[in-house]
Amino acid sequence: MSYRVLIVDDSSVVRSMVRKAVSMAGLDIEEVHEAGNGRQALETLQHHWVDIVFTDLHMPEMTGIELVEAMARSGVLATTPVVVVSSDPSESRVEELRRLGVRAYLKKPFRPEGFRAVVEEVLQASKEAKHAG
Amino acid sequence: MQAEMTGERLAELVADTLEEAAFVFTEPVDPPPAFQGEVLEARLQYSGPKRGVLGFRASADFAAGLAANLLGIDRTDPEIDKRSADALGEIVNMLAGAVVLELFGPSAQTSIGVPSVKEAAAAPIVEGVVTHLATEDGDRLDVFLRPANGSSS
Repeated sequence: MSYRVLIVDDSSVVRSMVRKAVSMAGLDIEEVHEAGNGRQALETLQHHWVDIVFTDLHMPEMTGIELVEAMARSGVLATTPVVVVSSDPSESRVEELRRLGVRAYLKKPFRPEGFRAVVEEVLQASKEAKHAG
Repeated sequence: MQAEMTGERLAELVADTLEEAAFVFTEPVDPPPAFQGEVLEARLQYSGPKRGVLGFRASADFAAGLAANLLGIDRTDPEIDKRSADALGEIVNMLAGAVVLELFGPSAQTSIGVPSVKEAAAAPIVEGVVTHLATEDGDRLDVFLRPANGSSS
């Protein structure tokens, strides 16, 4: 199966780092979209089917939490897994995100092997959920 | 929980962050070597039980090398000039995660702001907790933590 990925971060350096980590994870990638904030990400999601979203939390215009909340309201979050990639260490923030439906939280800086493990777990769980449904 | 930050501990957090994120190795130095060429300063605001500012000064040349390491591209790549300020901002963002965790612990409600990067002022940093480091290549790095007065709430 090939995947379509959306990377959301206001830093072009981080978007490139995540893009590289995605390619190093050995996934068959069909398409990679990038967005500089939550608002741009929502626009991308309106026009493109995406299999997994990687998002930062603290971004101008629309934060990662606002993006996740909007995805939850529209029902997209139930079918499109979100992985938060952030340096924010707050456990309460992680719990809040999990309650909203975020599948995984990856703390920066991350290693490629840690990134791959998280992505494989999230995509496997998503595949099983789709088959069960 | 509110831990006290020292210059020595801040230097350790900087070293760990740079090593893990970009394979850059540093040591604390006193007195620090002179900066070479243009100097950039990245800073961001953090908040939790207390607020403050975290700042990071380095030469534009160091920032270019940092961008190359983070992106896994050659230093001669034409993309580097456009990405070096962003790379310095991202390192401050990662460092802020470690600093906030050290100061307030994992259970505190915290927030890390969006970094801004500009040319550094010529004046030395005198307020707050300051640490000076040097890389293996002799690049000088100045990092400071400036807690704001009062709580964030």
